[in-house]
Amino acid sequence: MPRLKMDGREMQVAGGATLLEAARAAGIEIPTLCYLKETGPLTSCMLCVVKDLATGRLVPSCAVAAEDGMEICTTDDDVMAARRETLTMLLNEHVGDCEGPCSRMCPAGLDIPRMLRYIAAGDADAAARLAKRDLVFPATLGCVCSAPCERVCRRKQYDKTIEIRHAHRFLGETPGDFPIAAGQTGQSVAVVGAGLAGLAAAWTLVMRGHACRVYEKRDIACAALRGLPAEKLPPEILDAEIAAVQRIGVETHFGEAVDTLNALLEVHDAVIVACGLEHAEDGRVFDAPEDVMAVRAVGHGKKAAFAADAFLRGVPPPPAKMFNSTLGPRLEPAELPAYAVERLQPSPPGSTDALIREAARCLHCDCHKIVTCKLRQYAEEYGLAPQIRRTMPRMSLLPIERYGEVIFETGKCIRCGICVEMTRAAGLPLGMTMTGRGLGSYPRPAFGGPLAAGLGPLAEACARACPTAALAIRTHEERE
Amino acid sequence: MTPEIDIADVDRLVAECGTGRDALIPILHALQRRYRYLPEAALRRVCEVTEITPADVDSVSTFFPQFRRRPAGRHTISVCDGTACHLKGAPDVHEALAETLGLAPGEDTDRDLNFTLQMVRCLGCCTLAPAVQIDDVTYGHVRPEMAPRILEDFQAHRDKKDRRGEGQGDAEPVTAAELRIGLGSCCVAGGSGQIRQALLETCDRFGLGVRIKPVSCVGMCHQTPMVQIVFPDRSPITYAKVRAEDVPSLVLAHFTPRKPLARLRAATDTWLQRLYTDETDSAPERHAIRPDSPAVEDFLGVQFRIATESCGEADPTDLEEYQRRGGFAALRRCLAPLGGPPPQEGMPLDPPAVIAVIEESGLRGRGGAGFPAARKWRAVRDAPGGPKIIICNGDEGDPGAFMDRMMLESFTYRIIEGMIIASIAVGAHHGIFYLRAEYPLAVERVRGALRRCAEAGLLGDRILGSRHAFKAEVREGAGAFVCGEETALIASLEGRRPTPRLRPPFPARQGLHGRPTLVNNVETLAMVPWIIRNGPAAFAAFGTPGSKGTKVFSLAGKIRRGGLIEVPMGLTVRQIVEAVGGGVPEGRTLKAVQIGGPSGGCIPAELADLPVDFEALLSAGSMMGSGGFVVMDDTDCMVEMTHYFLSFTQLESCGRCVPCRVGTKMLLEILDRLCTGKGKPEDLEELERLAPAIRKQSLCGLGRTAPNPVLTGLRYFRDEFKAHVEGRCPAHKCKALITYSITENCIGCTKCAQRCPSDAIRPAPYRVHEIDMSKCVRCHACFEVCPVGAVKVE
Repeated sequence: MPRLKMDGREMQVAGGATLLEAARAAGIEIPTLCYLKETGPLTSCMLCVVKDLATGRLVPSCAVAAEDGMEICTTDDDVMAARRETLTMLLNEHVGDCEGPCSRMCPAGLDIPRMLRYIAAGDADAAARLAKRDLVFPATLGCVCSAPCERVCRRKQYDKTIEIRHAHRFLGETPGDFPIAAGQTGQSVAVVGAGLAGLAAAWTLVMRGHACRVYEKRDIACAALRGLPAEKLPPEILDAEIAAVQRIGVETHFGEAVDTLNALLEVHDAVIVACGLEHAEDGRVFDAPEDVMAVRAVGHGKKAAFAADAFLRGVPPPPAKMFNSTLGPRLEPAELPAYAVERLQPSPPGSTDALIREAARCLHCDCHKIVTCKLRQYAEEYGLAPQIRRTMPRMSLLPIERYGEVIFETGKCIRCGICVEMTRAAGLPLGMTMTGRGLGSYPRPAFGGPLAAGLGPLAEACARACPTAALAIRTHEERE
Repeated sequence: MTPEIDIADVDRLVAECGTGRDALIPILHALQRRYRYLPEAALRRVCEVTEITPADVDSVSTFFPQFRRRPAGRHTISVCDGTACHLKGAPDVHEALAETLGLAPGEDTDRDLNFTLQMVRCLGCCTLAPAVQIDDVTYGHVRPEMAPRILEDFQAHRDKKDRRGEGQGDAEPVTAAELRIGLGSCCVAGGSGQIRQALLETCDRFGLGVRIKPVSCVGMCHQTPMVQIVFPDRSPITYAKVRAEDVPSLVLAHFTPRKPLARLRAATDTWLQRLYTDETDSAPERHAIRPDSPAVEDFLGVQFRIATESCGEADPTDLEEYQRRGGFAALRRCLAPLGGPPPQEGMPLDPPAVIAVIEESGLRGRGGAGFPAARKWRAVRDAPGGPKIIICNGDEGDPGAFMDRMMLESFTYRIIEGMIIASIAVGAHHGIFYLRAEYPLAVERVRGALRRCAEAGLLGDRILGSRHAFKAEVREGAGAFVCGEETALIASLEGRRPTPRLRPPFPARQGLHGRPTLVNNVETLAMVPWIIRNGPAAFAAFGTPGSKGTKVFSLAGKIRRGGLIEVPMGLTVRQIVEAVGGGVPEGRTLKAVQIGGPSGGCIPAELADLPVDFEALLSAGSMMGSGGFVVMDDTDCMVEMTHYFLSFTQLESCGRCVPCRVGTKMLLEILDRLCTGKGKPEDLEELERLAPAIRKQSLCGLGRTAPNPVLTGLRYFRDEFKAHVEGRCPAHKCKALITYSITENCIGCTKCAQRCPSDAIRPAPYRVHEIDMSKCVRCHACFEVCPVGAVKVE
């Protein structure tokens, strides 16, 4: 029963226990990617390094046995720097998008791939709720948006972009209200300005349980959009969406100009300025500038509302951007076969059927483990910049393979060997095997066989065990 | 195109190699020898009839570049890209050969399946750089424009290949004198096979009763092929750079033919003159070696030979001669307490005493890290479990190193004796020589020597009648640098993918098949018999306090006399370069030496007084490594060299752990940018952050030492790295950063235009020539050929 010290804490562990096991037993968190209890230590990712204070060396905690008298540090600067360096390396060789380019480009942050998947699966209601939640004005934006999402759609390199804008316009025009999810907080926020930014902020705050009052000096909301020709933006579409905002409980005060914020701050817990009003710095005031680009205005409104919400709840403000791995703007011609694309003609929306056909054209290039990919989680946790600093050029995107519900994306593999070990232990006739060497080593079904032969009945188990989305289950894993 | 696979054939090969998992690499070698690649049908059959799984076959056969999964040409052309060859233009040679064979980019085999062209890591003929090997014929000092002629020459000579120098029985009966000829790989590459043939023919024709004796590597590879004439009563006479056509005259200068042939004797003078005249630009130069003044005395003077004792004197295959020269006397002392015959000299030594002697001698492992040999032996001896195993690590993979090969070829019995002694000391009964398959002669020599030792009772169940049993076998590697790492080596012997694992447990406790395993380097074992025979004090008298004895280096690069050298530890860099190596070539200055290959680092000329021992090298940021010693002069670019070493380690990284797999690639990318003029100001900073991270975080020694060239490069040659960031290459070596022009001094001789391979220079007799930089491939040929130095590099 060795006794050792970890992060200054005395502990005693069973003989033969590894440092990682000792840490976990004591509730000390050590990040691992390649470690799985069943497969034993594979010492591949080297993320679990800790410092042996006796030698000053960094050792992989998954494989080093705890010994009597050891002194281990799991959190000092060297350890943290080493883990960050390892993550940076892993992300340098990572080939894949976390978010799809479309949703990454959307200033309002619409989860486009998920919306399209709902549509394609025939769940138009869920799709409509998502569009409403993320865009607040899905139909209006469907009319006026300059659609940065469509400019970056990967499908464009095969034939034509998915008609995303038309899709959310169609959904937005579907009648139906959005239920408020959160309970009442008893706090109230004033929003100055009833443009898209102001109303989006107000809507978002009400959705989060705050009371919200909008002050607008004009007699009408979204005056800037009113100048557009009716064939571009039919007024009834805009009116219907403004009415929906009012219906969920946003109080609108038209014809009430606000000169200073002091009076508002006496009555409200926070103020969102969505009209360009000059004001002094105040921790309770959040800016949501209007923008000529409608979708950006909505984005500003939401962002200000999120910040105000966090402030009111006394939690840290949400990160500006999550970590994102990306394939870059365009695929190389040689990479195009990676996505097995069925040539589906674009279907101009107009009917639900056409919409479904259109949504089915989505490549699903966003990550299949958007929630559970450990690599992205650690990238966030260890504070890596949202976009990886590339020291080496991105490696080529290799064909994405499928076997039943399981999908195999070689480029997202960290070569940990978990799938190899699992199929070997199960005694599959062929199984997965690590082929090649160095950067060119990849797990492959033995003798170049199909994925079916490599993974066999273990396919889904391997997909669940895979720390990244190299092996994933095709059914949607969606974010909340 | 795919040949038919005869199942019976595959079964027969499997039967020869065994059906266990550890027979995998031998089976793959056998299949490849049979089919020149690994046909999938054959591999599937192997899985049916052995314990080997498809997963193992795939993962091991795709790991080693030596194994091919695509059909190959009948002949293999290997262009050596070892350090010395790279420096001397191997990539250009490769390109020229590819062009001659009409290969499209990415292809390696010509349409008729005649030749497969490959770039290989060091062939171990650094002194012949750049070297090209076609099957077993080696061409030295190859220039790109010689490519077509080499292929022609090979085709022409294919049928009358020189017979190699194995076989002690076919020499002439011994008379008063003997003719010795070196038959190490370098010598054979240098043409000693033909020389031997010529010697045999000459002696036969003139009825001379002179014994022609193949001897071990002389270590003076820069002088190959060499012939030594030894008289019983006079000091030997050595002739360097002998050519086959010179042989009759050479022989007749010293021996009187039984049939008088005054006519031939008269030719002697001519030959003597020719021996030291420059080699003309003739023909594929299979044996053309630049003449240097052979300061043989200096070369041998400061050296002291322990591992390479009786270098150039003994026939490496002659067991009797080895014993006559004191061979196996050390073994007899160790066997005596185990019931062996009483030793002819010295006290008997029981196993603990053997370890004590080794401990007292201070012998440290010569494989790189310098771990005390006695401690390792004791650890294996004390380890529970068994039966214990000894592995001689001969997987010498450093580019620029060839001493293991030379020792295995030339001092085979000494290494075997060292291994048997070690087996007594640690209590092992099974030994394995893990040798590079790229060293066919070494493999052949060791196999032959093991056979002869077994016949002589030196190996087997009761060695020399004692109670000690020990048998040894040869296993061939398949071309992976990482297999020099002991845990990877063991994995490959077990038929697994050769990726290193975390130590501890060390192989001494848990090695091959989980048994206690002693892994020693070739040179370490070669030192052992001498230490036992001469006593530990004699060994410890050499060297420095921390590093005792001598060290074998392969001395190569920009040096006048390269070769296999053995010098006392602690000699300074300068002594080795100047006294042993004769200094850098005339007109050049020493810039740095690179010690320890890709794991080592550069030591700048300013530190030339650094003693070469384990500690001093480490403190300078380098390491002993296995003993490559490559000299660089002022025309070598340190950034390019660093790039070269990193491209080696990056390719050799097994890929298991992230810091090595990705980190080395990141380093290489940055170096790539620097060498091609795309450097960014933050690049140096990034190198400085990445290199230590890789060193600290990698799993095994390969990764931990891979950044050393970068770290020493930045430490000693920072200005040169900075210059590259600014787009300059001070050594004028990085092709993207230099331009060529012709000055007014041009005399219009058109030589440059004739040599230019890319028509970048139009011949303009008697006028000043011009270089079209858009066509220039920066091969440097114009610079070299210009008789008036009118070609300017900037």
